[in-house]
Amino acid sequence: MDTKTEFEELIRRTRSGSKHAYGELYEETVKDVYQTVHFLLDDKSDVDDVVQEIYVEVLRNLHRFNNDKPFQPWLKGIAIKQISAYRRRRWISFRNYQKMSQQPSEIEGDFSPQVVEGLLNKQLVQLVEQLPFKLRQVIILRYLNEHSQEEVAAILKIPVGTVKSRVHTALKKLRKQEELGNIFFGKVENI
Amino acid sequence: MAHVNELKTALNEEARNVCPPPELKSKVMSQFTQKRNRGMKRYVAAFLIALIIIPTSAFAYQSLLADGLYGSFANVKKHVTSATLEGYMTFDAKLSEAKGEMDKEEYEKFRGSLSVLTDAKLKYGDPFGNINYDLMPKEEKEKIRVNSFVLQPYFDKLNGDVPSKELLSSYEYKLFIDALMTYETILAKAEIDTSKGPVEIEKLPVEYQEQFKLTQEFIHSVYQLQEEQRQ
Repeated sequence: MDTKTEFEELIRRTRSGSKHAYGELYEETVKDVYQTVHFLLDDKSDVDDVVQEIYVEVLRNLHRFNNDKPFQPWLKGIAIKQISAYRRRRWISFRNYQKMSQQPSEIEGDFSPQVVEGLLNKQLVQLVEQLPFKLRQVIILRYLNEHSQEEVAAILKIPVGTVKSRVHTALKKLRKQEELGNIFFGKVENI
Repeated sequence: MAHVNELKTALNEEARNVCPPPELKSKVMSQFTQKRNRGMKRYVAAFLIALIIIPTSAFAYQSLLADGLYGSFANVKKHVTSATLEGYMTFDAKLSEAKGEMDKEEYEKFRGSLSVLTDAKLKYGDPFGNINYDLMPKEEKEKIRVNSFVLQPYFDKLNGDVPSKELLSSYEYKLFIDALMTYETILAKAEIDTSKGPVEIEKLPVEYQEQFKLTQEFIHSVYQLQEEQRQ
């Protein structure tokens, strides 16, 4: 859809109280939002809750949205704010600590022959997930959501130059990690 | 740049398996209705596992509904040395009040949930009525946790507070219940006699102090929210 007009229409109707329009707005946007949250949260079991929070905030702030601007980056800005808020809640750390100490990780590697390529992708994604949060943010927004550098800057409320340098640093780190990984595998093969 | 393309492919491939669960929509949509009804206001919260220990001077003899849950005061006393008859009667009074306010079916549901909690108190509670949930079997702990989600709104109601479930988002509400359980766990671990007024952090073993402080701050922030709502 284009989005801009169609979003405008949905927003207008949501503002005037149409639940149906809000439902459509949700449907149109949730996948993207959900994936972003998924990649930016360490504890995937909280993704649903954070997404729910995001839509509460959207509803709460929709009257402030400026129709002259694109909706997606605005929405993403709210998402990032909520994700950061989630991370900030100080006591989350002890909760995670509790979880870690009580529940041995239930995630098992999937070694079914879904295969090498899938495995490599997974490794790369894992490397992304190990990046510091600030770097991970730009990588996800830029390369998963495909926002432009300017949009990323607007979403994160930082200068474009900073976005560029973060992307650069992140890619450099990824490359380095990957090389390390390759060396490791290389050695194993050589044996 | 080849590397960037690789990265995009990897993320997109991985993202293909990441889809919002269908039930999320109904949760989000229910907020739409709630928000509109309540004019976007923030919520409150409250609690009271300490219900049993509420100090009060007004107690009257009733049919001792509490006996149905605990056996008798003597039974409580046997397990919880810091229990007072007064606290017990208050608990009983609260129960009577609950019975008066709820219809039969609802009251039975409430009592059912409550007995899970009181049973656990007797079985796992320390001499001061606090439970170290870390020592509990995982299933039991989860049972109590789920049960607390159900009970909390009743407690709020009996305490004259706006239900915390409505005041907090579902996520915050979950954290709140967890915080309450953590709070109690630390008290049990540190063997604190909670009947002797407010807990002083300095008196806790050093290793628990930081965690306790964080938990307490959070619980207090919820209480404060509730307080603000009441005004």
